[in-house]
Amino acid sequence: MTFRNELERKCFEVAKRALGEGVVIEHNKTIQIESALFPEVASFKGPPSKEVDVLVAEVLDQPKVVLLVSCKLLSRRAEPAHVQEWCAVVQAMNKYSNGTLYFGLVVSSTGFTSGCEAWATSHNLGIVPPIKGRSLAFAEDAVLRMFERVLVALRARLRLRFDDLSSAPAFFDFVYRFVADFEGHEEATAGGRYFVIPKGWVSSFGEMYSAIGGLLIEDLRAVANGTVIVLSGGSVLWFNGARVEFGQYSETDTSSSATARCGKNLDMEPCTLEFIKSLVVGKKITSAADFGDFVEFGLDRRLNLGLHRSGFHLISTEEPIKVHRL
Amino acid sequence: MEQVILVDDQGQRLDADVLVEALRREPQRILADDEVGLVLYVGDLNLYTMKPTESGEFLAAPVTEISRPRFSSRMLRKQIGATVLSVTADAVFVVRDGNVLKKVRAQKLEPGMVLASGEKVYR
Repeated sequence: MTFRNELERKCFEVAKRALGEGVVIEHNKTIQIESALFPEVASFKGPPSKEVDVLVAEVLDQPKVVLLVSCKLLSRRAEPAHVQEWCAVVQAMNKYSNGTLYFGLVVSSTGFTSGCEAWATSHNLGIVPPIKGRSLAFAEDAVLRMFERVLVALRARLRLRFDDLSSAPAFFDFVYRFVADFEGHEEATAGGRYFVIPKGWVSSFGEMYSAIGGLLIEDLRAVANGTVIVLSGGSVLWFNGARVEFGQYSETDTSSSATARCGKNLDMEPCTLEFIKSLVVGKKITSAADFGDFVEFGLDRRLNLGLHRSGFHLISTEEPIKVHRL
Repeated sequence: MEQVILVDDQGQRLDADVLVEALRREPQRILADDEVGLVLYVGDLNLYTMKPTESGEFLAAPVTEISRPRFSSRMLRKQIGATVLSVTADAVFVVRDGNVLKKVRAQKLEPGMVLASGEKVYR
């Protein structure tokens, strides 16, 4: 199979991965209509026909629903004419179809100018990436992930119900709902410090605390490249100085394999890991803080447990400090 | 998490979090569950979302999907007239600017601006 450009090849691979068979690329496919007396088909040449490059994805077999995707690899953002052209193509295909329902989608790695939204909305066309309230450029990788998310969701959605998406702007809105959330995601994950394991999803401090807050400490371990807290409910948190990973426990990844350097009280008096364990195992996580070089967790509102790259510290938070030294 | 006001076809308010937790046990409803968030199909449940308008009133719109993004848009609290609203930072308001109307995103809505509906922005 040949491809017009790199974006088309990547979109094809994404569509194959998301939908399996039933995905083809057609180049110079001729769309022909009977009358060109409509503004939507102004880009059709007489006799009213048009050659297009299209990624055809059969999303549903019974009834037959086909997604027509236009992959725009442009140096600037796609303009209304690009969307208008695809509106005409999808409209023509639906008008002369023999029972097949066609949906249209335009993928532009450089995004869209604001005038595109009116055309896409009124003609029920999906656009990836979305046009949001403020300017935000998405990386090509993010655009492809949006495309894949839409394809997977569309197939699942059409199996439940498909007729309500055929009237404008239902399909536009459907696509928008699945790609608009990427904006918050891309912003929140720009740092790349927190990760959910084993999925490897980029996460945030807030999500980390939501996942581990209230859990009980079952064990502390020092591993080759970091320190680990084993928590109740099969959860684990791993810190290596640059990354904080949390999620489901895996014995192979967190088996104890290194010597921990441990300290206690504010002056970091040396102590053993066993000493810290004897005080924290069974305690509940009640707060968290990220200090960069180390992360610290409040336990039962009376201890602070710190995780460093190569060890732990433990401090009592009760007053007066001298009376409550560990 | 974005504030979503959900009601059923009798107008009774539903707890969105409770509903999401109950529905996510039905795998056929899950349209997406990935690093971006969770999206559930609810088109068969006759649910409506109450969307705040710039006049401070609420508009009921049918809901076909409920989205639970892991990183949602930033939320702002705005007082317009006598009403305090929670809106996303990119929500668009129409304000008067002399003799013309212009669109302003919530994050650029400033005290003293007057909406097209005549209501004043206080904070």
